[in-house]
Amino acid sequence: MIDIKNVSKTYGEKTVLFPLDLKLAAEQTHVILGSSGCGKSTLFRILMGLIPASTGEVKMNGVAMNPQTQKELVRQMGYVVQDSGLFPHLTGFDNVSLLMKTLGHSRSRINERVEELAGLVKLDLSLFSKFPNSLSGGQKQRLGIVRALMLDPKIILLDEPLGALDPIVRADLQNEMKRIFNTLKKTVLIITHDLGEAASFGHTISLFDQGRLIQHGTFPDLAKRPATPFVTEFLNAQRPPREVLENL
Amino acid sequence: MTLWMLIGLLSSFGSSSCLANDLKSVVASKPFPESYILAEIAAQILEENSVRVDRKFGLGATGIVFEAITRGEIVLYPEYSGTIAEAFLKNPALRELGKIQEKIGSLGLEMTDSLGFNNTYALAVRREFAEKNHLISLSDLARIPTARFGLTNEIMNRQDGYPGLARRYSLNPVEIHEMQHSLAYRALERGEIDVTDVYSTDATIKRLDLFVLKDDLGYFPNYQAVFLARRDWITKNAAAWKRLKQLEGKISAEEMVSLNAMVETDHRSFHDVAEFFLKGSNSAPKANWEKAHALWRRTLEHLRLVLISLGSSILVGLPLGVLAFYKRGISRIILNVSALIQTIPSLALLAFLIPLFGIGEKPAIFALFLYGLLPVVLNTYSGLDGVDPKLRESAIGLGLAEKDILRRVLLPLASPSILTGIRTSAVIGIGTATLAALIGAGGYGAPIMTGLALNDIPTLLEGAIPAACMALLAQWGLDRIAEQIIPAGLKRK
Repeated sequence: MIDIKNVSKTYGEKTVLFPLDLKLAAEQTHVILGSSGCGKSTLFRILMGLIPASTGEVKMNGVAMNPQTQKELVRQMGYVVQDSGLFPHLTGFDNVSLLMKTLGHSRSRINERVEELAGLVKLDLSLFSKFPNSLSGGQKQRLGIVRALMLDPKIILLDEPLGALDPIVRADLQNEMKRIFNTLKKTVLIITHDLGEAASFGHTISLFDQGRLIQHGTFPDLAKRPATPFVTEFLNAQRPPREVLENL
Repeated sequence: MTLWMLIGLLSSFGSSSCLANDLKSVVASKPFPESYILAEIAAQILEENSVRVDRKFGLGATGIVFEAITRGEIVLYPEYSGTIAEAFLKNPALRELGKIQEKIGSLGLEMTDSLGFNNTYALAVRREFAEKNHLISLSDLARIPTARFGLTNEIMNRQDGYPGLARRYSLNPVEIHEMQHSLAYRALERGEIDVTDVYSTDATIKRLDLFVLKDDLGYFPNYQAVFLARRDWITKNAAAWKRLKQLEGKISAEEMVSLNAMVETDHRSFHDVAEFFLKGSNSAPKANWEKAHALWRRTLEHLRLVLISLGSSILVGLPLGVLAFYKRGISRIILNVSALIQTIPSLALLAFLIPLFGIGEKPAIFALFLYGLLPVVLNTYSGLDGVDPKLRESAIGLGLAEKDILRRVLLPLASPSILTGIRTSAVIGIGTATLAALIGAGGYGAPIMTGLALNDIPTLLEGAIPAACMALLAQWGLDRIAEQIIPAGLKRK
């Protein structure tokens, strides 16, 4: 589980993330929701130890994030970014196996793992020998997910994982990802600005606005018991898919 | 640290070649025809006296030759008394040869008496003008106020130039033009002017059949041609030195003008001209295989200069570029210093390095190494800096160790930029290495400098064409290497 205590971030005079507390349960999918500039990416970077928090601390399964623990903690997290973040100079296979190679895992162990995950994300093995720039957006994102899952992390962080995809691929991959996360029983954190995605993925949703956590709860909580008028406004501005509404 | 190891390495490279030089007497010249001819005459005399000679002709400037002979890098070269007084003894007022000979003893040097001519400023007229007006000396010229003067701005503006000359001889011409040397000669040829300034042994004097007026009041500075040599060398080669001293007073100004003209006007090699002077005839011209052999030797010399310096630039520049990328605090310093080095004029840099390394290959390689540094450092830095920050974040997010991020992600992504830097450095190196001839490092620069000094285009091209070919080849070769090194995923698009 992820325990965020009194975490904030300021750059000089400017506060990009106001102090917040959040406890995110293990083996569930949590959505960090908000428009761009709301502080959600800052929170992510703090969670991964890419930048230090100005106040407070983050604990991953009881271990506090600091420069000494960062490498170890990060290896227990899988990280998927928008447009995949695949290294353009490496083939798909080399991209996903890079970390395991540097950690000294055996070739056969790596191959085994790649085959297993390729099956899970339904990505043809032949595509692993190609370079990222000759793959489609959806294929790259699946590779990105494989790369994040290689070390079988307990936590998976996804930053706008569907952001760069066209609508059809997007809907398709969204369903795939739901299936994958349900199969793996991981703690998943997803950043998105898309209400539909949030409603579809999230066991919980944390809605951010201008550096503040506005409300944390389930989608029905947000829809039926909005903490502030902003929540309703945000929900109304983006109409969630019909089936989600119907299930309310 | 690496730098010092490198310098050590370079010095050990150098010392092996020095070993060979110890057995040979290095004869040098400065980069103009007369100096080449006199040095070659000396070299041939030494060889006749069983001295093994290494010719380092066309050294860039008086300062360079001065350093070289006082350090013992060279043992002998032709010089002018005025220059010795000025550059060696820092006493331009010293004119008497005897006094100069006395003073240079303290530098461990010795010089011959005048070889017989004074290469100084002089005024010249067309021969028929001199005959018509019965002119022998400058005093005679003062009698002809209608003579039209065309003088170079050099002599017009020098302290010891025309203004003082006019006062000394009471020259008061009605017509005086300030013009360029080549234009003045043409004007003189066409009869548009009557008097111009020349160097007293200029080959043009013969070509245009000019008459040099005698400086009967001794106004112009004394630039007697002499051979300057190290005393310790003379002690060991007394017979050869004695034979050289037999040339004292044997070369008149007219004779020197003809020798210069043979080289400059008739485009004969200074080897042939020197041989002609000593023996009155020439042996067979150089066979083609000899020329090919010389080309091959120069290619090896040039390659050696470029490869060692380029290799060092890469070995030092790449880590420096990486350091600049990681340590933002010192990146400005690293980048600015490497840029600063680039702004030092090559000849000045070479001259700076002589006190440290002497002349020849070592300072040349070190200078080329310095010049090659900036493109490598800068392109490594900007290549790393240009990597998409998202990819770097993605690598950190993956949990890769910093060294793996650098080695497996950042450097491969920066490789196209780094290779561009290396290519730039190589091409600059091949070009700049031609200047190495100015400090006696050989290579393609040797024929280029000779060609420039003699205004002899074919000789110049013997160096310039192979140098250009080498640059093209290097470009081509490095492109092929780049194809191999740059990851395939970065090339398609």
